[in-house]
Amino acid sequence: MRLFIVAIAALGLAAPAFANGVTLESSVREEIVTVDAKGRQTVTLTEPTAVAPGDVVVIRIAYENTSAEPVADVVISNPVPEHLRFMGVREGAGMVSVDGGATFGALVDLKIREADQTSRPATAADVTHVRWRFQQPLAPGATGAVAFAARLD
Amino acid sequence: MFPNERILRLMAFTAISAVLAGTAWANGTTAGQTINNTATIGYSVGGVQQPDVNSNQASFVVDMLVNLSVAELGGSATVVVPGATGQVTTFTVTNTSNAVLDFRLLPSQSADGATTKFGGTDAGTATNVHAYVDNGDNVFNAADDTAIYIDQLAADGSIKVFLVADMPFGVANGGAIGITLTAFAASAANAAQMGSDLVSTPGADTPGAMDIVFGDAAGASDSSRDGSYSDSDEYRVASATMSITKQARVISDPVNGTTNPRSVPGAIIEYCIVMQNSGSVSATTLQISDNVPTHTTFVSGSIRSAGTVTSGSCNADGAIEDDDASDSGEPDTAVGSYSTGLVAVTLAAVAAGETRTALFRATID
Repeated sequence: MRLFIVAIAALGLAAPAFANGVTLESSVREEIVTVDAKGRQTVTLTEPTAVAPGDVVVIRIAYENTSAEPVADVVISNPVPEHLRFMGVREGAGMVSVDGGATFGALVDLKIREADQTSRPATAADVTHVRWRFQQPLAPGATGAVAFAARLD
Repeated sequence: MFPNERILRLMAFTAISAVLAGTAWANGTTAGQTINNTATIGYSVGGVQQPDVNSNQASFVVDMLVNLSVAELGGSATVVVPGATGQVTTFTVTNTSNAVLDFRLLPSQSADGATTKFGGTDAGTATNVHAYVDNGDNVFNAADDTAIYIDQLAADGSIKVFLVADMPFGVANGGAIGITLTAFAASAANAAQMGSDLVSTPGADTPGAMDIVFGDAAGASDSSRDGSYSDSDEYRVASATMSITKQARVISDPVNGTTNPRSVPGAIIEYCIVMQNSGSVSATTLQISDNVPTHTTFVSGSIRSAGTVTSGSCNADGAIEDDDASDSGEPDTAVGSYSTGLVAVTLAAVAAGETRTALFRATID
């Protein structure tokens, strides 16, 4: 498994970051689920202007290869922000970590080792990082997005 | 998309949903908190690992989710007697918002005829109704529970509120007086000062600012998502209900003696005053007075107190009273006296459901 470093972006950095022609842009939308009389659910994503505890937000990370070269071994990592509780991956084949980003897998396969050396199945509340690994290189000009949902504690 | 990972992901999400169901968010992230998100990408070009790239920081501000509950404590009516003052009912107000809040308290009363909290029918209006906040000892004490609003109640904090009221006279036994406490969420900006009622942020929004969102349910007399909550309680009147009737019968006359006596001059008439308590509590210190009818003369030493009734007729029982107003030398706690044409009897008590009598005799002039 490839090691990678999670850097903390400077506060207030608003514009997409550029480096060697790959851009990454993070955005937050509030997920609002409405149920009609027939029980059909409609999910809409709105500007996160009225997020209160219990509400669900979708964090979306858009990527683009703006270089003229294909890029390979692409890994997008997103630490779950403080006060948010991971709910599920919404776009892309994401895996999660419950140990601060050291190991990744599907949540059902992950375990938490307690202080008394017993272990229990990991739950959503344990998720610390979400990661998407791309099997195929990104061609020049390729764009896409990955996303996950989280609930505000 | 990679089929294997996708399947795992769906399984994972199902498990997560099960865990999250029913989670309470009462003690949630504090209103005004900014949540920031930054993603990182790593990749290689031409087989060479490139430095990680960070995304921008996406942010939002946690809004104030206003939620509260008011709950009647005790689960039963407060039993009162008519005219009782300072009668207390107790509620608990809980702040389930994600912010410290003040709460304005408003007592109100049910309309006459309305069905009250514990199944009674509202039959009167209390006066002097006030809401006071408990000082922490959980017991109402007029001297130290004087706050009329809740000051700076922490998120997930709860506090007792006492409704104190004076009961009206004239409510029959079993009658109810319905009462409701409504708490309104208010700004906790200033300590020891009641803030103004919160107003939910209307449609158009200022991104990046803390909005106020009402998430409260509908209470006894308020709507859902209105920033207030209410619950009801009731006072139930337990009263002695006294009825008084008077019977008269001829005991003897000078011609027939005690056999079929007639109401002729010289006949002795026994008057019986019947006091029936059909209420649910004892009536105490009953004072009965009766003018001896004109054209009759009181028979000295004939007063009997606290006698009984059988099938509606007075029995010739009861304690013998002397005619003075003092109880000395008498074997009971009742007082019977006669003075210038007036018979007066004082009974210590007539218990709920009991009937007691006072008797005296007079001679037809």
